[in-house]
Amino acid sequence: MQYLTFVVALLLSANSLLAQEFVHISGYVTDSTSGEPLIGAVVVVKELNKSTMANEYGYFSIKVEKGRTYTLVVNYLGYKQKSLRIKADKNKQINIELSPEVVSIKEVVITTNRPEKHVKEVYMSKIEMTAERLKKVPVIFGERDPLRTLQLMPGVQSAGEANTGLYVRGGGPDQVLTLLDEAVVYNSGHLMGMFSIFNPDAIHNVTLYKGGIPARYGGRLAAVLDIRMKEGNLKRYSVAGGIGMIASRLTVEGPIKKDKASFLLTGRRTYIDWLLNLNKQSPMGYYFYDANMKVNWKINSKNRVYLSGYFGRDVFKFYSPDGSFGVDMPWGNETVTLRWNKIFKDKLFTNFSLIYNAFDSRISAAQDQLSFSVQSTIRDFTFKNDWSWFPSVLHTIRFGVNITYHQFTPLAASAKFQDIELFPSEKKRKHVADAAIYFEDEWTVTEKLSVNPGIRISWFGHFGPYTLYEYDALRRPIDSTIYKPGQLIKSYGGIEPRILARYQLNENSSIKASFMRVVQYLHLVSSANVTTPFDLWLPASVNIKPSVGYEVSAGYFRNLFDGNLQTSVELYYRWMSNLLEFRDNYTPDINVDVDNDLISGRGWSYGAEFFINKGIGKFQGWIGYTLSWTWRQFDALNDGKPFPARYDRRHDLSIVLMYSPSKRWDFGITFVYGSGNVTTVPTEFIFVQGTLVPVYSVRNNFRLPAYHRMDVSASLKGKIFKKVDYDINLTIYNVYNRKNIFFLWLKREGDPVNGIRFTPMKVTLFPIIPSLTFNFKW
Amino acid sequence: MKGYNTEIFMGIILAFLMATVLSCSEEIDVELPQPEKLHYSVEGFIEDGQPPIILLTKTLAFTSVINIDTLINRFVSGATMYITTEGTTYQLQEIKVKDLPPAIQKEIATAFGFSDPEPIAELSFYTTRFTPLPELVGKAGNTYHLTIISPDGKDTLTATTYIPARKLKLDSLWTKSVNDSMANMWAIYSDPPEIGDIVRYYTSINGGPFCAPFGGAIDDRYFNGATITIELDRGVCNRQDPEEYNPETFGLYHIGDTVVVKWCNIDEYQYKFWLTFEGALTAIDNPFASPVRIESNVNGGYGIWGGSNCSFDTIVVNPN
Repeated sequence: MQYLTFVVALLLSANSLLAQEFVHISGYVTDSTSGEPLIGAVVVVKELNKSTMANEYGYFSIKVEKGRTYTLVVNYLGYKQKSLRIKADKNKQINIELSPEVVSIKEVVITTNRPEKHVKEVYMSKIEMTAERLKKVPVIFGERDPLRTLQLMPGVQSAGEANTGLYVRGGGPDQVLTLLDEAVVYNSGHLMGMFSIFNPDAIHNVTLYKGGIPARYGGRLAAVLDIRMKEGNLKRYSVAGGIGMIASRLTVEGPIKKDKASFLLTGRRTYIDWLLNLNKQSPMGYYFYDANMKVNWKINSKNRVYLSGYFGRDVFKFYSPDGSFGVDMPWGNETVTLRWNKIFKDKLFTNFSLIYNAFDSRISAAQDQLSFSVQSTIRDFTFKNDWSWFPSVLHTIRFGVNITYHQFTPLAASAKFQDIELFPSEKKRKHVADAAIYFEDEWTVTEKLSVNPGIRISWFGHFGPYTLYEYDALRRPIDSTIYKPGQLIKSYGGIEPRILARYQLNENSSIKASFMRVVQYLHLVSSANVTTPFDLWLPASVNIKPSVGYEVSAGYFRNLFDGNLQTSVELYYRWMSNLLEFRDNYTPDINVDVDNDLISGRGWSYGAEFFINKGIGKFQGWIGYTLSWTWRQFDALNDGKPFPARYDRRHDLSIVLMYSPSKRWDFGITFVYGSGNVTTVPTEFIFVQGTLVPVYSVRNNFRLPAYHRMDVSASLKGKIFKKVDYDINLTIYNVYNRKNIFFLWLKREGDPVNGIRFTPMKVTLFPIIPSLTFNFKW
Repeated sequence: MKGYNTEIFMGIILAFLMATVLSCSEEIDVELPQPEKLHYSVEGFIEDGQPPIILLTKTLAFTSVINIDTLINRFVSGATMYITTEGTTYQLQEIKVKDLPPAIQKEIATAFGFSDPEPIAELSFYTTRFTPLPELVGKAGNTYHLTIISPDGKDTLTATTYIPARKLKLDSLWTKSVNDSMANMWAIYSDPPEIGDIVRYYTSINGGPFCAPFGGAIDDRYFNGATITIELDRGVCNRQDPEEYNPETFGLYHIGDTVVVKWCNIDEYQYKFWLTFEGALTAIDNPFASPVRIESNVNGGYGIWGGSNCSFDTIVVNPN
């Protein structure tokens, strides 16, 4: 707080000493064809040689001297640069519409603005991706996916073959804060992670902070994935869709009242279940569907409200043909976000959000007269209030508050035999709340130096009603304490300083550095080698301390060839404590609070990330390479010795090339190479009661063969019925049919007379897969 | 009743996904890691009223080719062993099975899960019986500290167990026909009011060896203090014999068999050991299994040093 007082005093004294009058030029930067905000658009005041960026709603504000005339130059990648002359005679709000380059020129997609942000913005370890760029990268089944494309960036790894889970700088999928219109998404994958829940047609902007996380974000150790949905076209009605091999999509958007209010509706469903039933009735069925909706209303120039939501479900069923056995497994997320943007005197922007989000998964099975069900749910209710204050062209100050009430119900189980309830569905529900306040200042200190110091103060509490059990060595309850509703059981607090700095060496190069301390109160624990929807999210508790992470990173950023090539090298080191794992030999037990089956340890990760990006011209693409090490150490695992984490991948290389020779054709090619994952294999047998039993004495003691794959795609674009744009996309996944290992298992062969041996077997998932997708937009 | 394991269901879904996405499984040419060193493994038991019997084996590298000879060579001869209880230390002596009278050979073979003494004729085991040394006999409630020094003197293994009281006894035992030739077996027993009673049972058919079934170790967390009706599966003598898993006969008894049920109160070390031992067995040859680390109370090695207090009931399987 002392820092805040100092900054405010400095700003006020400067104003009074100079005795000059100032006004604010503010407004929104939007797409001229749809009215969508251009998040992160750069607004340069030419006369002052100062710039600012539009915030996550497209809003900017600049304080300038009254009476003078200024030239504002507005840039956004993929859009035509726009210059405006503004006389600063009073506070002015102007809305700046930029035209997409692709519409205005006939042959090729070339952007004329220079990617100055790369070296000039204070943020590092940040990846921004627009929906437009996602379309050009080849992906499996032709299903465009923001997460799959992010996996091709340095520092970001895929969670496995065709899995959309993100491992960022040695952190697990639960260490990535995934936000959809500010609502937390607890499970971002469909079909065991093969598809993300983010329908590309509904997505407007994707930002990933893989380190150097600003203070406005918190709650996860590794990264922030901030996904903003489209707002709906304010100018005209539009219908878009796609028909793919396993799923189809449809999006409808348009103005409710032109330039004042709009809506967006999207839907998507797979038809794997229908395909399976084409020839004969299949005992198995699987499908997923999801829907996004959004409406927004510009009440006036200073007030705007948004209501957005997501609902998605995966459903797996299996019924044996004779009806004696059946399994039903649905899981999914839902989110609702209500937001109100308010502008005070053109220099103070605020947003109030009320957010509801939920995730649940259930397994129900029945065999003859026995049935059981296990369900886990999370419900969150959040209030958020964020402020952006633009006191001068040198400062953008952000502060805010965030309060969330969470309701966790892990492993609520019930079972019945005939009509007799074998055990009641006693829900061990946990009521927890977390709250945080933050402050950050994006400060242009000198021509060369910019900093963004920030602090986040967070608090977490676990409240009753709750019964806390004590267990003996065999996990049998021996004592209990009952807490009343609202009674505080355990609380934790965290002070999370963050700082980012950029020093501009010259027009084309800069060095950047960051430090962060982050605290994570919610954890995902997984007993399997892959992330599944049945993994448990658990809050901190008496037995579980919050995880704490520190990261330092530094990087060199350079633009080459007049900005045509952006390059960077980033180094990072990250420490994490109170990480959670299941104890050895964990099996879920509905009668024991799962907290008692967890053990804590520490982790560390370090590495270097190299990136070359070409974002403009006929040829676009990037090369990303990461060299990294990731370790874990748990006193109660692996005899207390450090072991490589599941996310340890020494080399990770991605090459993405996109070529658009004409208005009609797009070609894409990607190549990925990654060191094999680590896994645990037995090293010895013991011989007990005439039986050989394998001993797994060292954790993650074997590295699987390297993973590599190449995908190619070609898209033909055109127009039908004069108004409908279409593209036909042919994608070939795994073009050279590499049999990458999905997992390894050991097969017993031979007999006792001739000798028994165990042979390593690999299971591969995807061979070469061609796919055709038809997309259209009217 | 055991806790439900979501991994089983993840296994189901994964299995179907595999089939759906054209998965395939094939041999892969990789070099699996070797153990840094081979360890000693203890299989030792002491029962109420019985002397201790201990087998010491050396582990086998996972990449080895396994046959009868390599297995026999696992048994360690020349170790030094002591058991300390109630302030007295007893030395154990190494005995070769073949040097014992035939009846005892069979008894010893049975104790270690072999139906015939022949495979273990050359084996050494360690005990206080059949020796001129003072004999140690297990006594309920006593604690037993075991020390083993390897033949080369480089390794010392220690373990501690106790013999629990004989609190769990079968109240009644009966069989019920499931078809013309097979029957299942049922029992009733009463669990004492305090929590922490564990039992493991074994069955012997027509004078054969005592063998435990899968899931034969039971604790009282779900029915503490209650009177329980339980189905007693036939023990599995050779857990790697596919015939033992024939669904037509699994867990069942032939009508006419004479069955002795050995009903043992055991300590928690044994319970954890048997639970994880069986978990590790199910992981063999199973692509979806997670690694299971066998719990052990042996410091400096693997295996189990367990105390038991057993009662015996005999029943003839009649048609009904």
